[in-house]
Amino acid sequence: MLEHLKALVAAETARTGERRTIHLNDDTLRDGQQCLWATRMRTEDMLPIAERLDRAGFLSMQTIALVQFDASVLFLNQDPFERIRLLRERITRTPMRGAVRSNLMRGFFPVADDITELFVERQIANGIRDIAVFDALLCSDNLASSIRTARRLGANVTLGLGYNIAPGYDDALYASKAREGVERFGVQTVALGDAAGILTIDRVRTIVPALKQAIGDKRLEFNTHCLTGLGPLLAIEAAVHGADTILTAVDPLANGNSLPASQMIARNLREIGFDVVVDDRLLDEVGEYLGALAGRERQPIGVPAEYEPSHYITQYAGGAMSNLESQLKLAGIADKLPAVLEEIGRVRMELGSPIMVTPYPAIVAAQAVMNVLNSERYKVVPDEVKKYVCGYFGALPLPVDSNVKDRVLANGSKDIALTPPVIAPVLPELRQRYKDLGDDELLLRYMYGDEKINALAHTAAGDNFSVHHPIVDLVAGLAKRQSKARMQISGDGFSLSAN
Amino acid sequence: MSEPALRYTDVSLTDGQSARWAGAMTTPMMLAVATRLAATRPAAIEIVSPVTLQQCVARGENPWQRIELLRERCPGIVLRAAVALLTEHGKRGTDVISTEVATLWLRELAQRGVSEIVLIDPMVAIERIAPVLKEAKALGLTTIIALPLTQESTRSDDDLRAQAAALARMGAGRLMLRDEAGLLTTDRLTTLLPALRAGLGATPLDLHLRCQTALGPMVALEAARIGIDGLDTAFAPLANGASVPALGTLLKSLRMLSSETSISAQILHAVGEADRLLAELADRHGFGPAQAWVFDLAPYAHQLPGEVAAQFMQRLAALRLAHKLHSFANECARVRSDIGAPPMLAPFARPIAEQALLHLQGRPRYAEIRPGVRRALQQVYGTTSGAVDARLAQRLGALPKTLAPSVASLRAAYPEASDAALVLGQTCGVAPEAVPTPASPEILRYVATTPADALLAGLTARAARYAQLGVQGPGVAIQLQGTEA
Repeated sequence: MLEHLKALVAAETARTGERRTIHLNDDTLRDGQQCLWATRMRTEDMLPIAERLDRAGFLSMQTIALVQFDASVLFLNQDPFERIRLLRERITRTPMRGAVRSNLMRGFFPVADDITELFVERQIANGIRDIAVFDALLCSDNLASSIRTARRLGANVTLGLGYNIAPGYDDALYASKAREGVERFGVQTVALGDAAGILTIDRVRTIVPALKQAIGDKRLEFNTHCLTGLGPLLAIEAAVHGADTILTAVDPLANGNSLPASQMIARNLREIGFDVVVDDRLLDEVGEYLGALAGRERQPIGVPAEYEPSHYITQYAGGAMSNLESQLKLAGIADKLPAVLEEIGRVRMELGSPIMVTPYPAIVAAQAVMNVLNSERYKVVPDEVKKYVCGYFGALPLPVDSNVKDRVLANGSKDIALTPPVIAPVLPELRQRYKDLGDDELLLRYMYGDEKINALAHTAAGDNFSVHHPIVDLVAGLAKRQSKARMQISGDGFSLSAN
Repeated sequence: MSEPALRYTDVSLTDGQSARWAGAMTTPMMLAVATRLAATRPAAIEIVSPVTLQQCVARGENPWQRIELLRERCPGIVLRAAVALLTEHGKRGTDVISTEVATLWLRELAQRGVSEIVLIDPMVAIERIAPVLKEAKALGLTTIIALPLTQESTRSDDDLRAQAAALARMGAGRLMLRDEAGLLTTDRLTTLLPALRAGLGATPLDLHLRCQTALGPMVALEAARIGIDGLDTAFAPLANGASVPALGTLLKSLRMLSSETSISAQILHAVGEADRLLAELADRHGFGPAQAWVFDLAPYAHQLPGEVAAQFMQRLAALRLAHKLHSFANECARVRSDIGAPPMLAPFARPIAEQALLHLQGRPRYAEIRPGVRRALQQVYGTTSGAVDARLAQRLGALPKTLAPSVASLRAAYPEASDAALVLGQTCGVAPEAVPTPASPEILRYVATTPADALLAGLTARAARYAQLGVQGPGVAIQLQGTEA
């Protein structure tokens, strides 16, 4: 394998006359900690490594997305905009990236364009220079307002395309969506995102060249996860077959459910003949800090996963699966789980095979449960299913099975209009309600309510923060002193003397 | 009853514990888990290999007693032993095991109820394998001949097919493709398996593969899908990494992928129980946790097999040289090429890794030559396929040929020693009189001890070697006064 990969890269180098540089994008502070620490990394714990990450040579750094906003406010009592600002003070060379989840905010239901636009605007105002947009239905209309705002404010735009295993989701579909992103919106980067880590080696070898061909000289970014243990190999294959950038996390916040490790990917890509510009020594320093931080916070580090093909079959994220199990148990029908899972596969395909990311697993599962419990399929139709079929969440990537569509429209609630209503702007009323507030706070109060925002605490922003025991730092500090004088320090239950 | 979906042989007690627990599993531990292992109904359990034979003797345990007691604990289960014709210990005259000594070895195994052997000659020298195979058949042993996997650039599918065909013609009971560095990919498998089949005709083909690149479980599943006659597996705590794929995961995956009904819930339950018991053992004794390795391209360069890979990855980490993995891997490849490109198996792989590490640490190349490298350069194990670096060969000079001692001369030299002890003398490079004697049932009873207990017992036993000794650690404080010798 090694020799084959080297030969492919050497052939490319001979053809173009120069070694290709593969860039890494850092995703430690956003996705790495989301995958391994349930997004519980605190702002002050990010600051001591921010400058080193900035100097490490990444093309960009993913720093925040809606999940980080949620966790920051709801669990850490920290202001996410403050996080962006504090990071921005330290990260001055590398563009920071923020991500927008389509036109969905909290609650996973489409919101008015004016609030989405303000969300993009405030991220950029606080220091974000690159906006990544993603819609699970691959519906570009849902992204138009975010992209327009980002471009108006001079930020780069990255279009994320979620990878899905389903009939119809072929290379041509992805290529056409990528081309649309470039031609219609002028995005600078297209990112293939494999959230569940279900890409295969064979598929990487076809989809990456197809995307690269579709977007011409725009950057192609590759993002996978390591749930099957294949992530690093997929990333290497992607680079060989045309990806310009690989999204990585610094080891030990890599592997397991997380991304491939920056250090490992850099070394391996260089080994097969690419140039990779990251500073390995700085990354190892950051890694050492993260390992110690994990120990102090009692959070896990990434443990390499054993290959298991079940991931390709369910595509049903771990969190969604445990939700479903507990709901069935509550309803006293836990024994129906195998039938429900089978029905989920069928319903999903009939509904046009949406990518199984929130809110679609819940919508598909709700219909599947109804189909299993009732004598006739689609006799009972949950409201969200009818809304989905009627395009409330956006145009569907593949058509809904026509028989199923008829039944959904006939049996669903009559209160749901067949044409989605226009969503009225919300900013005028918000500005009326929060007359004296700045836009950041107004936005946060809209998203999380007054009570949560009143409770936010300021971040103590000292960069000297250490993950070691204070005495270790004290001794290390003393050792660095030039003076050869005697040292005597005593405190409560503690004394230290040094020569 | 329909054919089982997969014919699996458990190698937890040999390759599994060597690769994952650095060979720390004692005879009492093996006896304590054997029944649980047998309950998973494997096609066979491998109970001894050249490496575990050495570990056993080094620990003061009698390997023949271990085999006899495991035989008692696993009624109705085929027991397998791995036998290698090249030794690693470096004692002159026994670098290559003679047919006569190999026959004695096989006889001792057969007498103790071993009925299947894996015969390994890393260089696949037909003239060495054929007479031993004949003796094995005469003893009624099912003989599986090992065919080491090499990278395509070294040996093509066609070359391997020709080798397989030659071994099948010789009368091998089965053939086992051994990928001890975990280099197989699904790409290679799809061309290699049909090629080997074509060479083998009706002779069954087994697969032994490691997981250094993390691809092992995927390749094993693919092999099961396109058709392999037998696969070596281990229980989860002793699988993955430098070991073989985990049985439980493999069976569950097969069941899911093919709606395979012959994998019963009882078997899956039994596998889960064995996994749990071994995990408890690991936890109690502080052995490493079951964990897969991260994919990396370096194994394709260093090609280090099983436990050698495990050991050297640990050494690189301990020396804070892990970031130089690829330099190390490339240096292994270079040293290997300098000494004639021998197969990356014992007795060649470890000395190559040792030599490469010396160079990596900045010693001038070949300023010091490791003994195993020296022996390989002097071709004591036979002629390698590649050319030996002429300057190195000239520097060392040739060795006069030393004849392997005959069994009669060994018996004459050690009249007190049994044939079983003579075999260990030759294979492990120890004096036959120094072979550990069988232990009492009391000693062989497994007692659950914590690492701290074991440390205390070990330190107390060595009290004559120190005057005062203190050990401090989290939750442990030991102060000992030495005794006069």
